[in-house]
Amino acid sequence: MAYAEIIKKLVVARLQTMPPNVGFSIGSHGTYTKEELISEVRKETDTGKAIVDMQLEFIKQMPRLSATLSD
Amino acid sequence: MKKILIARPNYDNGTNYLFFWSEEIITEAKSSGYNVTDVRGDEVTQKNIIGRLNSVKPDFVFLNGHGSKDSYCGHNLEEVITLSSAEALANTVTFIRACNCLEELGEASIMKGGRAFIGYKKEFIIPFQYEYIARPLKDPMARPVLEASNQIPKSLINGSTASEAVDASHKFAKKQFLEILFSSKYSEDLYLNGALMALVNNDLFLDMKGDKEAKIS
Repeated sequence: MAYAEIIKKLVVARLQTMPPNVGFSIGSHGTYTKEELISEVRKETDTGKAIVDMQLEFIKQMPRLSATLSD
Repeated sequence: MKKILIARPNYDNGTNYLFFWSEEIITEAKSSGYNVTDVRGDEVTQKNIIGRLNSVKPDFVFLNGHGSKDSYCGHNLEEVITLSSAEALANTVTFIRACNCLEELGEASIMKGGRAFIGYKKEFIIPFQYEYIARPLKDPMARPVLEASNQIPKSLINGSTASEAVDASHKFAKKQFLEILFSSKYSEDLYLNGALMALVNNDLFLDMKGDKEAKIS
């Protein structure tokens, strides 16, 4: 499986853990339900790519956030 | 008397949250003795904002809405300030709470005489729960994200420099991260997970250009 496909599946899996009544306003992209976001990620639209970037950045930042515990 | 211009369109869910979460800034500014020009709803047009910037000459400009690398948009996505009209922000400290405005629009405003420009390099994301969209101030998912960004105008109103205001938001966001991460509910409350993702995203892309020591008071 290609790396991009694995990332997409990871992001979809993370979105699927959220409750169904959650939404996100993503600037001028608009407002999305959880299911709409999952669809955007699967279709690789600009919004979907923005969500993938957000989720990857979140995962990458977790060690930094954890490190702040020692501050 | 120092002057503040606030713009807060209100035509979709995202701008509705920004509209209501800006109210506490207006209240605080007025109680701190500032002269506040509140441009709201469908009044947030290019003509009105550029006109008020030129006539009021505010010390602090706080614009809410949607944005892109080269423009800030008002009511119904009307382009209000663009790279070619960024000189309208000359001599001001500006905070644009919208996506993507920092790198190009922020840079243009500084090149054309702006004192400081605070904004986001990428998307500004608001998480929410649908049952709260008629009561944005009560939404527990949106609260940490909007409180973190509200630290910027609050700090400026209370005498902080532009750089200190950005740091105040980072510090507040960090406190929120830790509170959420170590909440006894975190592992089971998936709303908190969504709030945390947006909080991390917005905090990561918050920055400023211009004079770090600029103050509005």
